[in-house]
Amino acid sequence: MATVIARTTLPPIELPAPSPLDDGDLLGIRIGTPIRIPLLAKLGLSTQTGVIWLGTWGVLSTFFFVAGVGVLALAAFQQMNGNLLLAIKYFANIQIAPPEGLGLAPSLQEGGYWQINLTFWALSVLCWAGRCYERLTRYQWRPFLLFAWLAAILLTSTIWVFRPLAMGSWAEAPALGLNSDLDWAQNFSVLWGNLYYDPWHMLAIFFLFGSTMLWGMHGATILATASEGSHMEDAEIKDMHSGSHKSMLFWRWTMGFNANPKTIHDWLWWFSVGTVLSSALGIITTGTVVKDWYVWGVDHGWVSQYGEITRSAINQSSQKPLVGLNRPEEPGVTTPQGGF
Amino acid sequence: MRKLFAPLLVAAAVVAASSVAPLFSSAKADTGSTPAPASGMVPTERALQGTQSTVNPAQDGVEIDERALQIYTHVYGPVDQSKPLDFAGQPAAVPHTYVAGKLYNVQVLKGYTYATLLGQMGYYTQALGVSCTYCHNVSNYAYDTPTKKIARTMQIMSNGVTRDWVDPVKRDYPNYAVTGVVGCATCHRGAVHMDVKWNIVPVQYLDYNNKSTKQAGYAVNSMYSAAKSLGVNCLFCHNSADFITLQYYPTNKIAHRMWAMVDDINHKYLPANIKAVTCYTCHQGAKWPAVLVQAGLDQTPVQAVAAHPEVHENPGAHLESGVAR
Repeated sequence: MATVIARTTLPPIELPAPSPLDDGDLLGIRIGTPIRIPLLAKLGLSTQTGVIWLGTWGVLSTFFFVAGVGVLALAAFQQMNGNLLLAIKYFANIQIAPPEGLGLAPSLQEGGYWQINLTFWALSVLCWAGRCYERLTRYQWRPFLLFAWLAAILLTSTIWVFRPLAMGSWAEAPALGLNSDLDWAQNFSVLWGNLYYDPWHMLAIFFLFGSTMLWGMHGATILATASEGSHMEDAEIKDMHSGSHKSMLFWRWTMGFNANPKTIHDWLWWFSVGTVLSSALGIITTGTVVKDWYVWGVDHGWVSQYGEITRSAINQSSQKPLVGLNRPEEPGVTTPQGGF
Repeated sequence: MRKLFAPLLVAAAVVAASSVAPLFSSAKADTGSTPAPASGMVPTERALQGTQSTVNPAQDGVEIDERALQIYTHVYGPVDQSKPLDFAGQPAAVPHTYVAGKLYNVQVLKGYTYATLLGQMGYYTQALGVSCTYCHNVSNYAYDTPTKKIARTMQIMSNGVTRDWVDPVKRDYPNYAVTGVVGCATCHRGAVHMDVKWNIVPVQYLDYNNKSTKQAGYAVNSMYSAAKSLGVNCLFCHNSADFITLQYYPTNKIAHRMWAMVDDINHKYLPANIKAVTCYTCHQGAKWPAVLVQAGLDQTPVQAVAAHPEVHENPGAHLESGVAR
């Protein structure tokens, strides 16, 4: 019944047929001549490539990025004794390792390349943040793009800079390379007592999976209602019975709650930023505040206990028992049984 | 122009932060227990720096011939039978006129009669896939040749490994008792040359205290080598809830001993430039080395079996069931 009423009484508004070639200069503010790639139209994508706005920060960021990639390629090439075929064959295994301890590396091969590359990386991403800031202030936009970029910088610099500084050794940071990143994740978790017991890691996983769910819901909704013009969001966003309006109605009918075209992006932004922020907290506390996340979980009742197996197993360890918060183990301390 | 200076200020801030960072460093900064490795060396060589070969002649009953260790890299093959005998450097027990049926110059296999010694020699030939001429000059079996010296060292080694490492494991872990001792075939399996696979780091790398994540990576890679060598996965020795703290499985404790055993073999019985023994040397893909031998004078090959196979499948079974060891 409801569908009949909706169809008969209020027909959808008339919208022009979507065309990938319609992404021209609608507002008349574009500078320069864009490049057109007609092949992209066959994929349903916009054919326009460029124009890129150049600025001081953008030029600097690009320069540092290219310089960093150049140093990385040089170091990898040198590691393979200048043999291009070997460099291709062992591309995933090549790693530019950090030096032991803090301070300057003794040589280029023993961490010097790593430090140079890290410096270029820091300069590049910070200059790009400056580019974000300059654009936002010129348009007088709210600073969400800048904050999201800074959150990403915060996580990576926590892994590569802040935590190694706190731990007192650059060797705590991952080496630059494909397999070395994966190895670092494994070694990091093993060395500090199973990162899955890190509550910040749990929260980061919640945000990450939530992000994928929200992005999936949002993307699927917009793609589904493109038949009713929802891709023309800027034109129809205030109209009744447009694609965007029906998207909201759909979710209200489905789960009793909907996000409007603005608030869905609030959800997405906070979940994305929350992922990296909680990850950064989990990284910076590992090894500095908490030496062993599993023992921390035992001491705080997070770990399910099978009888007395957990505590007795720790005490039976051939290694020196690591206790949460780096406390010396006291013989009289008993762990509450039964978890929480 | 101020825009151009801003990145330089950022770079200066990074440098300044690294200079004051030791103020914030925790106990991890105490790297005194780990000497600074020399440049250009692989981790294994770094850890072996300053380590001296420790040979205990009194315990082994006979001194290991250091020259026998040196000739590993120079002479490696059957004895040249056409080479004239030179008794200048030979022990006094070597007769200039050899008489078959009598024992001369027996330094290690002293408890053997002539008949049992022949049986032992037959076992050597089967275990290595060689004939008498590989080690002996057939005109004078008592004559010491380079390969014979190596064989003598190898016999000392297998006796020492059994005495120092296998027997203590039998005594301390009766559930994992194996019915045999180390013999030639345990590693050689019918061939003179053995595969050297799945390299591991020295045992001191397994001490995770005061190790950086980078250094821990060396040990983790070796863990994969050990698992490949034994045909097992991590859970054979580890509780996956916490790989480091929960090292209470008996297999884990045995593995620590075996790791130390590998270092002992490499340092004591092999020349300084060869560190060929790894887990794979004996295990060769099996949890328990497939070819051990009966103890004592009987060198008949046997299959190592466990007294309680169920413990092999679940190393922590007896702990989780509450049965105290």
